[in-house]
Amino acid sequence: MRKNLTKEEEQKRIREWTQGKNLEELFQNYGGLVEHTVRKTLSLCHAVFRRQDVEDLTQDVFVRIFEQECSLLKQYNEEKGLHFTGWIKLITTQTVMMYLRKKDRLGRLGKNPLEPIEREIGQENNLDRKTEAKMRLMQIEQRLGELPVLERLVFKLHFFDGLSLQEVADSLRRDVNYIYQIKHRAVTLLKNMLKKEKK
Amino acid sequence: MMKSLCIDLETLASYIGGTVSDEERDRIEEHLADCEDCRKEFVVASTILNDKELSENEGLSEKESRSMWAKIKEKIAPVLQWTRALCSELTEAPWFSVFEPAPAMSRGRSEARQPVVEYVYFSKELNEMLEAEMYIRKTEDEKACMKVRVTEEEELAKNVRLTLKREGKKDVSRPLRDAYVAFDDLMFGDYHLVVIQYGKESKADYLLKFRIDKAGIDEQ
Repeated sequence: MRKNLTKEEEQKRIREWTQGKNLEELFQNYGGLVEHTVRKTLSLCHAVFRRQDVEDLTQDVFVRIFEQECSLLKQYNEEKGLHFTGWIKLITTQTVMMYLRKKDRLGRLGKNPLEPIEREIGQENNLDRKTEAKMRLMQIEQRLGELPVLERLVFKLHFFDGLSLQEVADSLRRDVNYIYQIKHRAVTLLKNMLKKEKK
Repeated sequence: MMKSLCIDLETLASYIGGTVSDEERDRIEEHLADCEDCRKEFVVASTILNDKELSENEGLSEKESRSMWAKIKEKIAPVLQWTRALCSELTEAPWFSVFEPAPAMSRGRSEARQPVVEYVYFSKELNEMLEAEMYIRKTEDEKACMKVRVTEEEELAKNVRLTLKREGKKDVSRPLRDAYVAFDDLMFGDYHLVVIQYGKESKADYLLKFRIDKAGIDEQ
């Protein structure tokens, strides 16, 4: 169970941990959080995992935190806007992603972002519609690079990564109405490009 | 800052924390729009950080915690490096007064004149009840002194004898009678510490292997 520490107590503890002191206490305070984050990250990535994988990854996170004289802890800077638990979660998600990439088990978050859409197209029985959809998808992919940066990013986050517009707005720290406009502009621009191509 | 073309952890933290400049934000977003791996990492990290259901207070069970910590300790064993500290800083550590009941310092002295200690402190579970605490201090060039205490359910363990072995040297064996057993003038090198606890009809012994060198203590 993580102890509820005051801000001063926590800052003092973080200083000690970065000096390599009381590392067991760090594990006791954040072991549960890391384990939950590992589990959640694996689920988000649609990875098939066993209890042992969660345990091994939880250990790997702490080994990463402690290695090279706790260099990852030393990099933590509260002024960057993230709470210490956020920093621990960030290290955890990165460790899990590195592991999945190594094992090539990224599932939904694999190398091909269009895989879920392609799978859906694959289920289409009408051959003409299936071919047309595949061609359209290829054209979209080719044209995406021509969109302005934010339009391209919002389009990918929403359509490829499955984030809702509210989630995109939260992640990019923008107003949801603004994100809605950006997405709308991205779709319109793409449609126009494809129409021109057809002509 | 960006590491080569991809986004490093610090930069990602600053971006998520909203503390980057507009110029840097544009640069990061341009990278995220084109780099599949970084974008996936950002999506997952951002989802996790915004997840209000992810409990921050739920801990591991005591059994899980014990076994996991033992495995982590095995993996990080070689990182017990000498730590430099002022005696006054160390007095806050609960174990310090056990091993240094009267440290050579006085409160009136200026910080600069206070003795600096180069030390390693660690504990090792010998079994479910017994725990060995070791405080090793660098004394002079290539020498150290080691103080060992063995506890049983947080009390000083009874009927315990400690024997320190080093190849080519005479074994040093001492019973644990006071707060700790001290082994002085230890040259850097490989050591075996045998902890024996005598029961009414039997005895149990445990072996700790370690090397003391310039870098610190390498548990083996």
